[in-house]
Amino acid sequence: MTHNDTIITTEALNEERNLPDFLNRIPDGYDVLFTDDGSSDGTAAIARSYPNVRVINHAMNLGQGVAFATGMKAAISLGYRYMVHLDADGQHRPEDIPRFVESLRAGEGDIVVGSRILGQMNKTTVLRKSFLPVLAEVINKITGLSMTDPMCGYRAYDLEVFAKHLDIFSTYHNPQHNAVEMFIRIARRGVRVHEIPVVVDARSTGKSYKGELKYGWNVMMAIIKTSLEEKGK
Amino acid sequence: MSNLTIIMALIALGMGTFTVQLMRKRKIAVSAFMLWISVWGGMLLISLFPDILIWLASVANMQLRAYFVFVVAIVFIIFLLFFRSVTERREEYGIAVLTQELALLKFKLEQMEHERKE
Repeated sequence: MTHNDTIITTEALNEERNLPDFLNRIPDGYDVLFTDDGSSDGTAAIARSYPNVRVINHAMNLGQGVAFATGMKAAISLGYRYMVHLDADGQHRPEDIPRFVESLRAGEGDIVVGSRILGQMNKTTVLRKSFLPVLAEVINKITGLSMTDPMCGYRAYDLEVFAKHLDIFSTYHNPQHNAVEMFIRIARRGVRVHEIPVVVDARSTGKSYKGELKYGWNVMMAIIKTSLEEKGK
Repeated sequence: MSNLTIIMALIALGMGTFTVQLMRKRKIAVSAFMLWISVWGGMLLISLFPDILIWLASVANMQLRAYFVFVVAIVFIIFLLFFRSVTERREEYGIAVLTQELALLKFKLEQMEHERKE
């Protein structure tokens, strides 16, 4: 079965070890758009070897947020209606993709967000586990949304809606923490958010580029910067 | 003239000449050229006429010339860093936009090439 109106997007930096497993697990019939964010290893070449994968290359590393925005812009220009975004490091289960698409098709939200709190987090750190609900509370207070896990990167987008809000992704204030910026901005524009439970695993191999303390600090900075910007509008 | 003032004057002259050379080779922006030429000019002026510094220090109610020099230098560096961080952010943003647009254009070209072959 083909899913002509849906595209899977992901981005990575030097993930040649995790990428084959990730791409092999994508359910049949889905097109994949992969943004290589300036990798110096064979990541892009591996992605290109898959017939259902289209590859965009950043000439230099710009961070996950910018790479994500590149993927979304390309998906819109290719004419897809739905876009499912997930991490290529083995943390998100590609088998869940159909559930995200079904939720979008059912009109449950303009963006469907995976929630580790409603689902399950395997092998996470105590610090991160205790930080996520606090962060969710802060973002809910600012946005008026009621989310349990705004930082989860496993999300699906109705591109018909997001094509009107592409400017949200063009500020690049905090390339690694675009989720915070996005939710603060979309909340003001009436974009509907829906959460579904997901299971998030530990990375297959390699290390994350997001250190625990640096992660927390950058998230707080993103909240402050985006809130100030939005108030200034 | 003390040895220090001679050294200061020579440094100011040397750096002034170097800054003009950079400008001629278009290796420095006009705004930066104006800023640094003013700095070297001020340095030269103070080394040739040290009384200016004594007068400025007394106007600022500072007992020692050295205090005045340090305060001016620190404030100048702080301002420089602040405006540099603003410029850096603007350049960083510009590079991100250009890199993204280049990637998307290249992607579109590849898609067109692919469709043409089919």
